[in-house]
Amino acid sequence: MMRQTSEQRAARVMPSFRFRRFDIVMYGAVLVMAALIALFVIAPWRGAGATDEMLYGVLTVDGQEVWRADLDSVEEQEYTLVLADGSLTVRVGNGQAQVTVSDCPDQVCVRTGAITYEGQAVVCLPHRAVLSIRSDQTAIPSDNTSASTTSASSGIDVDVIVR
Amino acid sequence: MRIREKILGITLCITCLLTVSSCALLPAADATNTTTEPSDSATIEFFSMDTYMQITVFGARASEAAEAARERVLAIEQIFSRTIEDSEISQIHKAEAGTAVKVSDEAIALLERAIAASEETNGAFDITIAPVMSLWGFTKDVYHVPGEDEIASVLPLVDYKNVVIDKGAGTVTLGSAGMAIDVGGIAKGYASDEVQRVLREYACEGALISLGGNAAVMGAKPDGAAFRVAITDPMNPSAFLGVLTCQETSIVTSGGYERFFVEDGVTYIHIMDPETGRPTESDLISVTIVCTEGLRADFLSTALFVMGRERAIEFWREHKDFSMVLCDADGVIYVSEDLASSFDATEGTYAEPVIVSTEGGV
Repeated sequence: MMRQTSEQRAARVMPSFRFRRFDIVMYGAVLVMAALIALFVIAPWRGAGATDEMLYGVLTVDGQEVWRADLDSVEEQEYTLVLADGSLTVRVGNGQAQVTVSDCPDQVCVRTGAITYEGQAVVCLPHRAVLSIRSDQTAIPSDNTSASTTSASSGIDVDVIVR
Repeated sequence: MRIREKILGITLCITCLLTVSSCALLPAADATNTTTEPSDSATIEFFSMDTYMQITVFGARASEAAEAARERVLAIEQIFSRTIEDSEISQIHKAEAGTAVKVSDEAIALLERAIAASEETNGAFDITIAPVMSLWGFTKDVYHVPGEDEIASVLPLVDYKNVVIDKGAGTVTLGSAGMAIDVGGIAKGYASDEVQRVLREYACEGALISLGGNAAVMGAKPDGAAFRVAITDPMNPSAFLGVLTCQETSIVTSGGYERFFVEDGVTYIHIMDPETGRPTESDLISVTIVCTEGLRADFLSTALFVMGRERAIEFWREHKDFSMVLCDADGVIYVSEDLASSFDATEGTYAEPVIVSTEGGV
C-alpha cells in the first residue's frame, strides 16, 4: 500500500465533503417526497375504510342542519330546539345521541332512546326533526331538495334499518 | 468510489421511501381491497307519506335518479294522502255515500290490489280501518279510549267489501256514510316498488331504499357485497333484533313499539284489529316480511301481526311465497326456514331463533 501525504489526503477528503453536502440535500428531498406521498396519497386511502373517523350527532329540521356535536366527546352536550309549534331537546356525547324531551304528541322520538351506530336516526315526525349519527362521509346533502354526490361508505356495519 | 457511494445513498433513500410508504399502507390493505374505485352515489332524504324517507343510489346517474325517485314518491302521496285536500282519496271521501267517484288508473290499480290483499288475509288487513283509527285518536295524535258503544257504532263501517271498484268506468264507490279508506298499510310498499322501477330506468347499479318501516335493496353495492339490513329490536328501539343479509328484495317491519299510548296503565298500540275495532291483542311484538314485491311485504307485515303467531305461521305455510321473522312477547324469535342462513340474531339479547319449517309444529 502506498502512504498518502497529508495533501493527498486533504484533496481526497475535501471534494468528497462538498459532494456529501449536495447529496444530503438530495437525500433530504427524496425523504420529503416520501413523507408527502405518505401524507397526501396514502392517508386518504386509509381514511376511506377507517372506522376511527369522527362521528357526530346531527340535528336537522326539514332537512336543514341546525346543530351538531361530537358524538364521542366525554362531556355530553345538550341542545334545545325551539320551533313555532313546540320544542325538542337532544343530548349528544359519550358515544350516543338521543332526544331527551319533546312536546310532540306521539313521543316516538323520546321512546326510541339512545342511538349509537353511524346511520341510525331518531325521527320526530310532528316536528319534522331528525337526530342522526353521521361521519363526514355520510354528511347531509347540502341542498336537501337535490341529491348530492357522496362517496360510498363501505365502513358501515349495517346498510339500512327497518322499524 | 464516489459513484458507488452515491448509488448506495440513493438505494438507501429509495428503501426509506418504500418503508415509509408501506407502513402507511399496511393498515389500509383491507380498505383498498374492497373499495374498487367507487362509482357515483347519491343519497336523498325527505319527509313524505307521513314518514321519513332515505334513498341511496349507486350508478353513473345517481343524483338524477334519486331526484326522479323522490318526485315519484311525492306524486304517489298526492294521489293517496288522506290529509291532502285535493288528493284522489280525499275526493272519494268528500263524495256522498253510494256516489261513484272517477279516479285515475293508478288509484284504481292500487285500490284493487288493496282489496285483493284484504281478501287474501281474510280481513286481517283492511283498507277501511280508518274510522277506527280516528276513533282512537291515531290520525290526529289526540288519543282517547272509546267506550263500547262508540266502537260498536263505527265497527260496521269497517268492511272492505263495501268498497266498489268499477274498473271499466274508472270509479270508486264507498257503500255507507262515514266510511273511509286508508292505504297507509300498502302505499309505502307500492311507493318502494315504484322507486325501484324509476331507478332501473336510470340504469342504477344498486340502491338502498328506506321509506319509514319499508326497506328495499336493489342491485349491488359498489364493492359487490350483499346488503345488511338491521331489524329494530321491539323491546329497545335503539338496538337491533338481528341483521338480514339480502339482495334484490323488500323488507318491511310492523310493530306496536313505535306508536302507542298509555292510559290508566294500559298500553294501546296503533295496529287495529278490524274484527274487534280495538288495538290488536297479538302475541307478536314485531313482524318482518321479506319478499320481492314491496307492496306485498307491506300489507303482509300488518296482516301477520294482527293474526298472531299461530295463524301467521299457518298463513306462511299455506303461501310460502315470502319469508318472515317474527318476535313474540316472550322474546322468542321465529324465522322461516328459507331465512335460516341469512338472519343473524343480535348476540346476547335474544336466544337462537326458532326455525319455522314448511311442515309440522313450531
